[in-house]
Amino acid sequence: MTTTDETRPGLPGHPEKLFAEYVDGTLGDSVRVTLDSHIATCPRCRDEVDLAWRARDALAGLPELDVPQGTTDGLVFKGLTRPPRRERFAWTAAFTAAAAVIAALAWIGIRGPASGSDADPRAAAPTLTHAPQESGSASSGKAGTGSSSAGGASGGTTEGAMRLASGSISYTRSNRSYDDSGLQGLARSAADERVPAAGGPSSFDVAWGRHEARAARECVAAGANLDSTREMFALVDARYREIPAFIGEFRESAHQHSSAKVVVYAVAKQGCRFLAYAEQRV
Amino acid sequence: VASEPSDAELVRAYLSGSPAAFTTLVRRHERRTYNLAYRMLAREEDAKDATQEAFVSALRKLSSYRGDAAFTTWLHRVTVNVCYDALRKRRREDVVDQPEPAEGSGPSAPDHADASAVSVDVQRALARVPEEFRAALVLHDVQDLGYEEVAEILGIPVGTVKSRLHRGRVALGRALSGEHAGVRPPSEGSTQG
Repeated sequence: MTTTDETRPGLPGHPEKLFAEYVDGTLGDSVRVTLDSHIATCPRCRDEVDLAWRARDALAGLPELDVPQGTTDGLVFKGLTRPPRRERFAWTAAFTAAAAVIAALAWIGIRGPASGSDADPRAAAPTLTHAPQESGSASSGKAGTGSSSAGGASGGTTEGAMRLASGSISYTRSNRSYDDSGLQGLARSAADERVPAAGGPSSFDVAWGRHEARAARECVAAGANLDSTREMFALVDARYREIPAFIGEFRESAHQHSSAKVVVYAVAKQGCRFLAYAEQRV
Repeated sequence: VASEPSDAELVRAYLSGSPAAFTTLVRRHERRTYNLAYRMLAREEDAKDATQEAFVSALRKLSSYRGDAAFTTWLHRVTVNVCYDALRKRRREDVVDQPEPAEGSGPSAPDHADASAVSVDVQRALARVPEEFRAALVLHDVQDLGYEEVAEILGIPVGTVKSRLHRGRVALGRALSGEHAGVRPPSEGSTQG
């Protein structure tokens, strides 16, 4: 906020370039006194300075606004699933970068599935979405499901997409058809096992290829409307109420409003639409 | 208690393969970014889109961020450019949608839960200030950035920032007074310092 030489032209005519600093009160005394004299005798400059003061005071009184909820959620998947036409190329590039990270972390190994409950081959559920509950619903058998439009919320996050690549993930297949209590069972048993820490190699069921695994991760992330605090540690190719589904298990770190928990999402393999959700505090 | 990583450290962490670092950057800067976009665009939905777009754009360009400017300065620059794009797009759409400008078709009323009637009036008046002046006003008078940083964000000389500030303030003052005329468009050939 210093006055530079370039703004001290010796006050010829109407010294417009000095007025910003004059109004801000950052001019040196000698320049300010000279300007005071000019303004006292120049109606135009006096009028402008009065307007500028008024504007400055008005702007200083504007409140800082809260960011509307969801503004920065869904960064990646908004782009990936509904790319604005002019953004398609750019998104491809951005996602390629993310995919490179994912590929770099694709190691081979085997880990068994987390335990689940018995099959519940009831009639296929209609599209279900959820509003994840604020904190862990540790009660058994009640997944946090509700019904609303699957496309209602912006899907996933940039961070979510890439977080999937940052930790170890076990990829398995199961013949089970889970229901809500089955998902809750997955969450509970994972929470009881003290979810493995991130950083180790991912493990792949022998039947999972890298490309398939990546596509499945993206599908779950898109359908689950991931937020950035969640990190996938297991992905199961199974069914939810007989609908072919990917079931993603995530750990969510403790944060300001919630303790650490495990969350489980079921997302239809076809169309990646959200099916169901369960969570369990660690 | 461990200290928070700096922006530069987070950028390096992201570029070194830690995706979560970008999440932290977003959380850290979304408030200022959103407020800058909202004051520039005056519509909540547009500001939300611009905020997203700014972070998407930043993510794409992060590898080209050299660290020679503060991350905040760099992100502000990205955001202002996104806002300029949005305003250009809005103008094009207005031309297509409204070939005959309606009487009094100024900027629509801000739709944010922007509390007081006074701040609504100010925001509405601000939207009538030519956008290049508006950017200087928002960065300096609302976001409280210094002349030099505003100059760096807008890519113009410091003298031009001061000139735009003054002209913008006068324009805003007139708009607040209900004067619609008298706003000179940006023409700064003689104000480059």
